[in-house]
Amino acid sequence: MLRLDINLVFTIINLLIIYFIVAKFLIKPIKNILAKRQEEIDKQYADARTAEDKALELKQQYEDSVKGIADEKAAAVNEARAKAGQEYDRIVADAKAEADKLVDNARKLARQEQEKSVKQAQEQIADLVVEAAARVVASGQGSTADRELYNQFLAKTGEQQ
Amino acid sequence: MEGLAEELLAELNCETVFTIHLGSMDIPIAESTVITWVVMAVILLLSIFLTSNLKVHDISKKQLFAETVVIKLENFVADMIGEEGRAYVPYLCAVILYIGFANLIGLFGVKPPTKDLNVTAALALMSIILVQYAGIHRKGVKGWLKSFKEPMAIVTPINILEVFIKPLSLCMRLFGNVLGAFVIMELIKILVPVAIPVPFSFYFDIFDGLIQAYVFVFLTSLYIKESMEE
Amino acid sequence: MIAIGAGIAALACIGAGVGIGIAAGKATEAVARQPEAESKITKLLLLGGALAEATAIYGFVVAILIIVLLG
Repeated sequence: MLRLDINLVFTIINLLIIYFIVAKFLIKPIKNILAKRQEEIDKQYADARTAEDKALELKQQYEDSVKGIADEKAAAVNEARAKAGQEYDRIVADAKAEADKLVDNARKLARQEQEKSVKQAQEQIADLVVEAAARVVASGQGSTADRELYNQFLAKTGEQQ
Repeated sequence: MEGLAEELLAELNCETVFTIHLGSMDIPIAESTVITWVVMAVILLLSIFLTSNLKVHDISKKQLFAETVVIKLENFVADMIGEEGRAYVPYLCAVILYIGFANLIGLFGVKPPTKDLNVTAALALMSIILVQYAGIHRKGVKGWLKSFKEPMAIVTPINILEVFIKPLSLCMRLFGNVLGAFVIMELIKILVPVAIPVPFSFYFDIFDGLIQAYVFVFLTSLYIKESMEE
Repeated sequence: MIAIGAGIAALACIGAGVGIGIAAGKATEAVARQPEAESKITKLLLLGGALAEATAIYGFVVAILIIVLLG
């Protein structure tokens, strides 16, 4: 129980061997495996980051292209609208021109008609006047007769009118 | 009564298992040394068994257990010694494993090797060499010598005395605890050999053994930390 | 005489008993005050108990030494 001898040295040697065993066979492999796992996790993280970057880049590209398409579309729409406006203007102008022409024609026709009828009326009035004068001259009677004749003439023209 | 005392003393004695005759020298190999070899073999086999076939993915339960134990043990020791003493963690792990196993081996009816003064003296000697080494490594020889004058020049003898008192107290604490537990267990076993020793065995062999391993490592790490302080 | 000396050496148990008693009492107070720190307090109590017990163990060792070396 109480003895100090050479076994103390043995125990120290044994302790050193145990230290060696624990450090070499227990702690080191576990540490290695943990370090490896950590490394792998880091690598996965890095991979994930690069993948994310790539995805972001792709997204940016996609957005750019979408934006380009939108611009193009807007330009096309504007162009089409401008073309349509021109067409519209042209058609409207054509239609207006035609309508003006028609209206002119109609007006001209109407005027000719009017002129014609006015001319006829003048001719008739002239005829009547001539006839009336002839009659007045022909009868040559009193004022009664004149009056009668005049009334007759008026009624005649009134009928004619 | 005489018989009981004889029996107790016989149990307490550390026998020499065999003697190596080297020329004219006789080298006695004590029981504790042999049991230490057994503990070494157990630790070695357990380590090899636990760390065989390690994988990064799809780890087995065995590997999970090994990883948990090693990480817990390391954190446990590292917590005590702090960040600066990282280099001494494996040694302290080894010591805590050895003392733990040595104290628990009493459960199998073997005399625990820590009951032998040789073993505790060796442990304390190693501890104090480590403590002084840590101080020298950290501060250099000059700083180490200067640290004996802290906090005043007049306490230098006490500081020098402390170098020997610390390991002595470490050694005697462990030795006395294990011996005391052993004596009480033997007494109980001699008086009532059946059933009664079981709860006492739980306290004296398992609880006290592990607590003493913890205290030994705790104090060693405390001393190392203290010696590394500026 | 030897037995008496050993008995006196074993009186060191008194100090350890008182010390552990005080430590346990203080630990109980601390847990009552701060129940959330129970695990830390328990750890410290165990450590303090183990350190205080060392005194009693020293007495025991001295007693054994007296018996074995002088007896």
